Order: sequence, then structure tokens, then C-alpha cells
Amino acid sequence: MKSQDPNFPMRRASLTALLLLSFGLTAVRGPATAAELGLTEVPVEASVGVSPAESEVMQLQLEVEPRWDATLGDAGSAVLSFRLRLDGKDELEPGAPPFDNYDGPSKPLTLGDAGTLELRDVYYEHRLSSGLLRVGKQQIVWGRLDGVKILDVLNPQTFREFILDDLGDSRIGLWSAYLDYSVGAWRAELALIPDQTSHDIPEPGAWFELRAPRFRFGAPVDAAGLPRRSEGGSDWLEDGALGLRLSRFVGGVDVSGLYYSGQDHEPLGRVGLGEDGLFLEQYHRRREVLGLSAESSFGPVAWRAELSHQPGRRFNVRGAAGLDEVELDQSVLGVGADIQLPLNLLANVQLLWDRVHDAPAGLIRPNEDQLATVFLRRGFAYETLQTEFRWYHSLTDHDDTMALRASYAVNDELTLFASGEWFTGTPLGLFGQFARQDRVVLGFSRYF
Amino acid sequence: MQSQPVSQEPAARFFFRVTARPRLTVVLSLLVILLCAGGLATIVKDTSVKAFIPPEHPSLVSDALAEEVFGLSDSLAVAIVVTDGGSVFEPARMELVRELTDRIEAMPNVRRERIASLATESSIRGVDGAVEVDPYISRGRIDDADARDAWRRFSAMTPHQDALASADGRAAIIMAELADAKLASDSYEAALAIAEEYRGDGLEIHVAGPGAVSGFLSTYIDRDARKMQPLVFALVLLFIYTAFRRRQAMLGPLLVIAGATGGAMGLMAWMGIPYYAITNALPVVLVAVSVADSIHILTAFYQRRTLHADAPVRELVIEAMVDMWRPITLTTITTIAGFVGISIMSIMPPIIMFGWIAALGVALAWVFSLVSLPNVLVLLDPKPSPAFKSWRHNQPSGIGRALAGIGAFSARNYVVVLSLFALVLVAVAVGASRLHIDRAQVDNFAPDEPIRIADTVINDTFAGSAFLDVIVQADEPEGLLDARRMRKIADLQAYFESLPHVQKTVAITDYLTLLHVAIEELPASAVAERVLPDSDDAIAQYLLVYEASGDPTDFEEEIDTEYRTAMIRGVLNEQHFSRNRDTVARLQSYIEREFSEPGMTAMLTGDVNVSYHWMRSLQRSHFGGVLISLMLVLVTSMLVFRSVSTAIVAVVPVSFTVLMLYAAMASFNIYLEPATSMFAAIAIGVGIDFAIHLIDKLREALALHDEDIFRAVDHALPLTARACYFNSGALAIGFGVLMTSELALLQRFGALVTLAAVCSYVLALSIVPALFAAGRAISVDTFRPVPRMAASMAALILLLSVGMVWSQGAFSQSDDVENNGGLDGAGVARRIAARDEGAASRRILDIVLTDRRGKTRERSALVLKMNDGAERATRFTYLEPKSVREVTFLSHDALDAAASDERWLYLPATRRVRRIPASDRGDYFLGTDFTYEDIQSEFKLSLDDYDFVLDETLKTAGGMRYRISGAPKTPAIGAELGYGGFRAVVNGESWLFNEVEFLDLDGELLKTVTINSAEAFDGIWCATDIEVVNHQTEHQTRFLYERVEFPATLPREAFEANALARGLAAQLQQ
Repeated sequence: MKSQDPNFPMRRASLTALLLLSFGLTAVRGPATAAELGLTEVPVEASVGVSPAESEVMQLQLEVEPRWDATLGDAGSAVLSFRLRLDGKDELEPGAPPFDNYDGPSKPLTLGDAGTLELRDVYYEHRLSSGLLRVGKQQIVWGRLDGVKILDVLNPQTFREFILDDLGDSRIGLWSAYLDYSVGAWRAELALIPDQTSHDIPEPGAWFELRAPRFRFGAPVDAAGLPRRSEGGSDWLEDGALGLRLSRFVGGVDVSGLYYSGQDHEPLGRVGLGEDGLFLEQYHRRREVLGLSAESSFGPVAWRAELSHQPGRRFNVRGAAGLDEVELDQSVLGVGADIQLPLNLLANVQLLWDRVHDAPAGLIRPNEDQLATVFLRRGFAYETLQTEFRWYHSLTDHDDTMALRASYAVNDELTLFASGEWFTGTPLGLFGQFARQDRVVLGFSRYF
Repeated sequence: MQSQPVSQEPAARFFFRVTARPRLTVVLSLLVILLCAGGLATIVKDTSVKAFIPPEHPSLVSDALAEEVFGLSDSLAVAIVVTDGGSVFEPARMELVRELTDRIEAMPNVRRERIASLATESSIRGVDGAVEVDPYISRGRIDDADARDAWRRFSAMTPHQDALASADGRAAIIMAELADAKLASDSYEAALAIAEEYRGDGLEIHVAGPGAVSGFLSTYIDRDARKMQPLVFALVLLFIYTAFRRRQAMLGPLLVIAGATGGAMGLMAWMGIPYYAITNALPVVLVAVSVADSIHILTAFYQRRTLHADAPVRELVIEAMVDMWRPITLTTITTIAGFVGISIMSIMPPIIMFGWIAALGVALAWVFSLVSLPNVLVLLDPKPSPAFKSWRHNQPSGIGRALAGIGAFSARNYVVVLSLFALVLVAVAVGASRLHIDRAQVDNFAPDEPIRIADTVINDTFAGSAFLDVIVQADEPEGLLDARRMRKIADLQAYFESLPHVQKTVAITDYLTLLHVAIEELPASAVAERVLPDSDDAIAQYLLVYEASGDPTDFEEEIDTEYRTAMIRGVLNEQHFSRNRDTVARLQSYIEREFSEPGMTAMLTGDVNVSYHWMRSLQRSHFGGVLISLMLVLVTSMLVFRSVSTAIVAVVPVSFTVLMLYAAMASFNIYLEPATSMFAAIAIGVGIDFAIHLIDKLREALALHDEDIFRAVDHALPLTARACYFNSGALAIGFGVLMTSELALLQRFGALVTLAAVCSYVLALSIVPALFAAGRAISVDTFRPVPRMAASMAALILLLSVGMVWSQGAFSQSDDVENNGGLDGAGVARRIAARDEGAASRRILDIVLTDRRGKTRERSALVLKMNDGAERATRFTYLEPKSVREVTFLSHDALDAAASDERWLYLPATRRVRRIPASDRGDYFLGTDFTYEDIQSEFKLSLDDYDFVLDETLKTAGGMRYRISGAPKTPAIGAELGYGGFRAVVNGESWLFNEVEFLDLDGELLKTVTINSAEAFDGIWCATDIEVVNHQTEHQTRFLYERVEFPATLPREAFEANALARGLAAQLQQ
């Protein structure tokens, strides 16, 4: 697999250079100068995952995510962070994945079958009189809801752990330039993203492989799919993305409007005929997103809402030749609220409606998706023990996932945690497709 | 004419008697109106700020003292600004200043002895150890050498710089105090005329100052009153014509309007109640309100006239009156309740009088409508109106049908209508919570008005035009001939000058310094440092020397002739309450701390102080007043309808309208001030009528149609909704006229009350049928009257509740006034509350958390705070440990308890700023043993939350200590705070707690807070080591503050939620 990637030596060289630079920065840490290293932190997380259905360990993972902050004069700063993942069981991301959804400079390094090294952030940030400019590999977050992506459209994400991972961990940073500037009561944000990386969808055989037909271009659940290829070649300038967001407070409500034009991170498919027979080619189209979001609070309730409209988005439909492409409008509305309940209990409730307008028969994805999420959290013993309950329910597919998590901060550096995830439903459904993938995870995280 | 009543109903009999002698009744009505209106000739105007404060209020007491001892009164400021690059210290211009001073001095109403300008004041300088006091501008011809000498002397006279002339010599000012504030308008006009004569090339002359502003406001009011009142009459009559399309229809309402407006205003004048600034709106309000009754009566009459064109007019009039007297009486009672509610809760005389006179006018309108209007109709015998011709076939008019259609739709789709209403209500409530309280008198004028321009010029060129003064008073004559006390005054000046918007202070110490420098031949820098003589004798001797060299009355504005009372004048370049309130509060706190020694006291005075107390009164009383008004309206509705549910339906539209007004004000940046605070009262008073009319007719129709709500709506609404439509239109036109005012304030007033009139009608039309339909869906008995006794009991219980709230409010106000100097438990709490927190602060906080096993966790955070008067913003950014680094908590806590707090959390891991719900005050703060309330209030236990008791006063080596205890005022407050009470020891120097023990809701000891150390930074006390032990969990938290700073301000961006994700600028982190 490695030999198929022509950029591999270059990437390894550049990552190595960055690593050396980062260790060099650590070494020069000393008297304050114009360029001063602000912080070096190395969070380490080790976890063991067990499949209750098979009574087997399915995850034996070590994650190290070192981060360096450097202050460069009065207005400048730089950040560099990596993520090293080693998994002794190698079931979440089996083998050495090709990462062909990643644009060249963003692609993680595979370290044998069981490890990856990924550049998470590397950017330079310059403070302006009323804002900042940030250039480099970074995440730009414009969504307001939790765990669902309606307006959080600038960065793709990895579905390595489906949607159970924190979005901050699963979001993929992109090489981009970001300007955040305030003019009076208005805040304007502009993002230019030449990076063409798209969603990282688990390969066949992965623990969280997307098995439902809607994610497999209509292929039945247990049928072997066609071999896949990815359409290559894109121009960073012509195919790059542009995002603009304007925000301000209106009567105590934080309101934002955004426009995004760039690559649709969800792939489309078409059937092709090659030398070895039929194959499925995955490719991406552009999309335009118009969005509005708002957030406010009254008393013990903080509410937020996101609305997106995507005119002429491309979707796959079943056609005479296998898969056709249609252009349809899509609207998504999400509303949510945090509610501070008695006994220090925090509840978060969200509802999402996702509708494709005038959908023809044979649309691969459902015409309409409705999702409800509930999240409860309570801290005990001065917040040293945190317990969380998460419930996702698809109102379209009538299936669910539930997750429980408890974490205990032994001290400021060390936290122990345990979590469990349960899925119910049919293999055709959003959550039911993982009905056999229940998981219990134990682990710890430690800051060095 | 008939000889018998048309029916045996008591109402019919009554109106039969009322209409027995129409000519006589109308003539008598006119005579009564003329008699009342005769009082208008004696009307007295008082548009001053002070009119808004009760005469016994401490701020007015100190003001009266200042006036008595120092002869201070409102002043005009005439500014001469040189625009050609030259200076006022040129011979010709100095002569002009002298001439202008003479002209102003010769004006009537100007106190000749109280004029200050370069032409009246003298410099002090030392020549060979002797003191020379020389006028800047002497009589006779002035040459270049004189001008240069004057400039040289002026440059050394710090107290005169930016006071008599700008420090750069580009402008001079003449301050002229007025003998009678009520004649300020004439004085302003006269000064303007003089200024106009001297305005020329290279020279601008502006007239401003508190006296001018007050005077000009009076001029404006006159002009507006002359313009608007006839216009209101004309427009309202035109509207009535449109509604009934008969000229004769206008005469009756005209009489009612004249009776209500002329009667109420005339009686007001006869009673000697002054015409305050806000009284200008009263005639317009009365015209608009009084015409409402006429419209309903005329509607009932013309409908009958159309149906029975040949019937005797008296019979038709009596029938119409029998039909309408009840709803008109109901609306009159509820409107009066609305206005009275505001009156009884306010402590400001103009607002109290506005409420009572408006209530009187509404009552008079009712009397004239029921007595005079029927007789006018009988006399005129009006023909059928073309506007009602459809009623010939018993069909409602087009407007009536259309409006009834809205009501019918609302009743049939009540679920949708009420759901939409609930959604809008939430949005409006959120908007209303943003309302701010503020005021500056110059904002009443348009930006291009000369007086506003003059005010800006004076604020920009000189030290300012707003005054905040401190009076220091010794117990005995010559008590201030004391070097230590003079030093204290100089220190006060230094602190005073460090406060926001204070440009300059002038006191006797400045002149003593000049004398000291002159006599001792000290360097010029000693003047700026206010170096004073060390001995008491030297002070007495210096003053004696001055009396020998200069005019003995020169210091009469700074110290009295007994040397017992001194005044420190602070000049501010800002008039807004929101921007000055912090300055006043901090100065008050300073004088309470530093001038509470035996034998000497200090108090604040000046316009800024008066305005501060005025606005604080408004802050305290406004929302309570609105609530009381609504409660009174509810109670009266309960009594008249004998149904709680019906009463609730009646107040829903008007309550929503009030909220909507607040939301509109907040979104258009219209702040709540005394004049705008009337919006709510008027909205309640006039807005309730529509709902009452609709409900009354709906209930009648329900009885007619076997309680079928849909048929009742179809039956009742066409006529009533049409009448209310024209009623609402008349109100909107009446108030809309105010938008033609030259006063920006009245324009806003007009726009918002017009909005209220329309909104309360539209809501009544759409919500009342929906609520009736919803109530009917629940039970057919929902809106039926209950026995009179049950209604009376319910009303009594509500009234008692209102009374309790009111008495509590009244007690807290009198407590504030009467116990100002006493130190009982509440007095100690007030001192604690007045403790200066600084306008901004920056601190590094080390937090040590220790659990019951002794295991500790440490974290460190940067804490930034800013207090802008309306809210306190706190930013809390973790610095350590690494796992939480850069996690930032931001809160905007409204100081007004009625407004809601806002909080945000920035988690770097999510790269997102998240709005979070405002926790209860008693929730624990970020895993510590402190509650949110502890952190936000800095342990200033609030008088609103607790009843305080002073248990013991202790004299210790470290100073006074007060042992106090307290219990929450109500169990609900206790539950909110999480405390059942407290016991505390208070340090009488810093007004910080030494120790506080909090009890839980069961009275068990919950936690002990100990302040281990505290320091004063720039005069502001700050606890630097606070420890709290929770006795029930055995958990401890220790807060250690380091690198404490109290800067004048901090970058606003640091407290903006939108900028939270950007992190902090490097200079703030260091």
C-alpha cells in the first residue's frame, strides 16, 4: 500500500523535519527572547476496548498528541501538534489505510499496519488590532450544535469511530488561511482553503465500517461491493474552498450567517469499466452552503439553532447505468438546548431535520433524515468524577445508540475513564448498522 | 321628548334623568370646563432635574446646603472660542471678554456677584515673598504687555486653567449663575441674543451649561405644547369624522376632550402642581384616552340610528348609553388603576403627579362621556351615518366584518395562534431583558441643535459642563483650619481626579498651595503636587494674607467665612448616568471610608449627584411600579368580571405590549429614563381598554348563544372590533403627533406609545378570542362569573399581596433615606456594598483545592473584571494545569436584578465558544467551594437578599469590627443562594469580611470563609488570600490573588464573547 503513494517519501521527510524542529524548540527553551516557547504539553491516552458480543479485546490503543506553542514577538505565535496512534488490535483502522481522501500534504503517515502519525495543527497566528490572521494546517469551526454537522462544513472528519468521538478529535485539520476580524459590533471571518482533503471513511473490515446501503452507494448490506477507486487530480486554486461568516449580537442573541463554496466532503460514486471489470469510482463535487445560526440563553436554558440550505447539491440515484447523479436542493435545520437542571445535572437536547427537496425515486440516501440526541452530564465530588450519558435516536430509521462514560480525575494530570456504547436497530439504519459493534472501553489519559 | 324611561332598568332610568335637560347640562358642562381651565393661567413650570427628586431626599438636602453655604445655583456658560489660530489673551479679545461679561452681568435673573470670567477673577503670585493678587483683565485700555502678562499669570494658575479659559488660551468662558431657575428659559434666550451680536470672523460664541439646558428645555416644551396640542385636537376630530362621516359627530367628543383635558390640567394648576418636563405629554395622553369613550358611545348610537332612523333621538341615546355605560366604566376603572399603580410606586414628584392627573383626566372623561355627551346628542339629533348604512340590513360594515374575521380565525385556530404567541413572547422577553437605564439631559435635543453643539464644544474645550461636588464639613467653626484635614481634602482631590470622566477638581487647597508656593518661593511643580503648609497656623495666616491682598469674597465658592465648610468642585465632561454612576459610587464610597472621623463629615452634591440619585430611584421603583399597575388592573378586572380567568385574559395583551415596548426600546437603543419610563404606564392605561371592551361584549354574546364561543365571536366582534379599531386609531394619531416634536425624547415617546396603542389592539383582537376558545375547550365554565363573594376574596388576597410588596418597597426606600448615616446591620451592609471594586481589575488567581483526605489540586487563572455601570463582565482564563489551559469562562452579569446574566465557555479542544445557561447563584463555581454569587458579588452580601442584624460592635487594636448576622428575606431567596443564613465579622476599615460562616437551609453550619489577608491597591481594597472550608464535605478551597491591578479600564475585546476564541493579547497575559 505504501508503495502506491508517490508522495510518501516527501511527506515522511517533511514530517520528520517538523518533528526535529519541534524537539529543537523544546531544546532551546530557556531565557525569554523575542521568540519564546510558550508551552509544551504531551497528552497521552491509553485505552482498551472490548466487544461484549464477542468477549474479545478489539482495541488496544495508545495515543500521544504532543503540542508546542511558541510566542513570536508581541503579535505572533505558532502552534505545532501531532497525533501518534498505535493500536495493538488494529481493528478500528485495519492494515495500513491508503488515506486517499487526504490531499498530499495533509496525508498521515502509516507506521506499519498498526500505527499512524498525523500532523494535527501547524500554523502561524498573527494578532491584529481587532482580530487575528492564522495560516497553516488548522481546524475552523463554524457550527454551534454538538456532534452533528450542519454548518461545521469547512473541515472534513474521520469516521474511524463513527460519530462517537469528540468532533475536535475526529475533525481533520486543513491547510488554510483564516482571517477573523471585528468591525464595530460585527465579526467577520474569512477562510480560504486550498486543501482538498475530504471525509475519512473507514475501509471495509473496519470496526465501524459503514455498512448501511446509504453509505455504500446503494449496495446491499452484506453484498461485496465493487472495487473502489478515487478520482484524482484537483487544482488547489480552482477547486479550493472559500468560506465567509458574519456574526453579531442582536438583542442578546449571537447570530451568524455564513456562505461556503467548496468541495463536498461526502463522496459521490459512479460505476466504471476497467481492465479488471467493473469498479466504483468515488469523486467529489463542489457545493454551496448558505447558513444561519443563532445562540442565546435565558435563565437555566441556553439554546442554539443552525439552518443550512444547499442549492443544487449533487446526490447519487439508482439509474439504468448503476449510479446516476442528480442536482437537488437540501435544507437542514437543527435546534438544541442546554438545560441546567436541579442537582447540578446538565441536559442537552437536540433535534435535526435534514430534507432533500423534490427527491426522485431511487435516491440513495433517504429523502429525509430526522435525528434526536440527548446528553446528560453530572459531576460529583467537586467535578473530579464526571458521568455522562449520550443517546442518539434516528427518527427516520427508528434505531439508536447509547453511550455511557465515567471519568475520574486522580489528579490534575491523570484521568481514568470507562465508557460503553450500545447500538440497536436493523443493519439498514444509521445506528443499527453497528448493532454488532457494541464496545466497552477502559483507559486513562495523562498529561506530561 | 319622552316623559318616561324607555325601560325599567336602573341604567335606563338614570340616563332618562340625565338627558332630561340637555341645554342646561351642556351649558353647565361648559361652565365647569371654563372654571377648571381658568387655572391654566396660573400654571407654574419646573423643568429642572431637581424637580424629580423628593425634597427630603439626602441628595437634595446636600444640594440645598451647597446653595445655602456657597450660594451655588444653576449657571449659564458662555464660551468664546477663537477659531483663527489666535488666543483670547490678545488685547482686543480680552476687551471683548470684559464687555461680554458686563453685558451678561447686566442681564435680568443673573446674579452679579456670581459671575466668573477672566474679567472678574484674579491671579495669585509671589513677588519677593509677598503675595500679589491681580485681576487678569483690568479696567481701561489693554495693551500687548498687559495681555502677555495676563497669559503668563494664567499659565501658572492651575485652578483657573480649563475653568476660566482653556489651558491653550484658545477659548474663554463666562459662567453666570441664575437667581431663579424657573426663569432660565428667558435668561438663555437673552444670552443667545447677546452672543449673536458678538459672533464674528474668527470667533465662535456658544451658550450652554446646566441653567441653559434646563432653560432651553423649557423653551422647547412651550414651543411643542403650542404646536402639538391644537394638532392633536384637529387630527383626532378628523379621525372621528372619518369614523362616523358626520360633522355633528365631532361636537360631543370635542366637549369630552375639553372636559377631560382642560379639567384635569386646570385642576392641576389650581392645586399648584407645577408643569414638569414630562407633563408636556399629559394633554396629548388625555385627548387620546378621553376620545375613546366617545367613539364607543357614538358607535352604539349610530348603529341604532341606522336601524331606527325615525325613532326619537332621546330613546336611541338612552339605549346606546345603557349598552355602553358598563364597558366604559370598566375601562375607566382599569385605566385609572394603571395610572394609579405607577403613581403609588414612584417617589419622583413629576411621575407621581403625571399618574394622578392622568387618572383624574380619565375620570373626568368618564363623567363627561356619561353626562354631557348624551345631552349633546339629544340636542343635535344626528342623522344616520353613511358609515353605518350596511346596518340597515343588519349587516356589519366592511371594516367590522374584516376585523371580526381576524377574531373568528383566532378563535377557530386557537392552538396555532397561542403557540405563535408563546414563541413571539419568548423572543420579546429576551429582547426586553436588554433594556438599559440611562440619562443625559442634552440627549433631549437634536444633534444639530445649538445647545447640544455648545455642550460638546464646552466639554471638548474646557474641563466640562457637569459638576459633581463634595462638601466637607467640620463640627466647629474654623474646624478646617487644620493642616491634616486640608491634606485629606487634597488626597480626596487626587482620588477624585483619577475617577472616570473627571477632568478637574478645584478646592480651597489649590489656592492654599498657590499661596504657599508664592510665600515660600517653592518650585512651580509644587502647584501640581498640591504641596500644602504643615501647620494649622500657616493655613490661617495664608488666608489672612490673601484677604489683605485680594478680594475677601474670592474664596466664597470654596470655603465658608467660618472656615467650617469647604466645597471641592469636580468638573466632568460626561453627563450620562451610565457613565458617571461608577464615579459617583466610588467617590461616595471613598468619602464614607475616609471622612467618617469624629468632628468631620463629607457629602456629595452637584447635578451629577442629583441625577445619580434620581436615576437610582427610577431603577428601584420602575419595574415594581409596572408590576403593581398590572396587578391593580388584574384586581379591578377580577372584581368587575367576577372571574379570575377572564381577568387574566384581560391583562395578557397589555402585559405583552409592555414587554414589547421594552424590547423595542432595547433594540433601538432607547434607554429607560424618567420620561420613557412613562411608556409602560401609558401602555397599560390605554392598552387595557380594548381587551375589556372585547371581553365584555364576548361574555354578553356567549350568554345569548348558549355559550357557543364561535357564534359569540361572530356576533360580538363586528361592532366592538370596529369601535376599538377607531379608538386605537385615535390613540395612535394622538400619540403619533408627539413624533412631530422638536424634542428627540418626545419623538421616541410618541413612536413607542403609538406602537403600544396599535399593538395592544391587534393583540386583544387576536389573542382574546383565542384564549376564550382555549378556555372553553378546557371547560365551559371557564369564564363564567363566580359568586361576588368569591371574586371579592380573590381580589382581596391579590390586593394584600400587592400591599405587602408595596410596603416592602416603601420600607426599603425609607430605610435608604433615613438610615443613611446610622450603622445598624443594614448600615454595615450598605458600607460593604459601597466598597469600591474599581472600574476594572486584573488579577492572577491561584486556586488550591483540598479534599477530605488532604489531597490537593492546584490551578491558576487570569481573572479580568470590568464594571461599566450596567453590568459586570468577568473573564476567567485558566493558565494551569495543562489539561485546562486556555479554558475560558466569560460572564456578563447585569447589575439590574431584573435583567438576565449571560455566560460563555471557550474550550480550546472544541475550538468553539459556547453559550451556557446562567447557573443558579447558589451553584458552585467551577468545582470550588465558592458559589457563583460569592465570586460575582465579591462577598458583598446584598440588602435585597438578606435581612441584616448588627450583633456587636468591637473596638480592636486593628480598628472597628462589626459582628453581623443575616437571614434570607424569603425561603425562595435562601434556596436560590443555597444558604439559610450567615454570621460574619466585618472589618470597619476595608469593609471586607474577616470571616463569614454560612449556614445551610436547615440552619447547620455549611462553610466558613476566612479572609487571611487583604491589601489596598490604589485605594481599593482587595482580599488577597481567601480560604473557604466546607464543613459538610470537608473540602477546602483557597484563593490566592497575585499581581493585583486596578486599571482605569481594560480592552473591551477581552470581554466580548465573539472574540473569546482569539485568546488574549500578549500584554494582558503578562
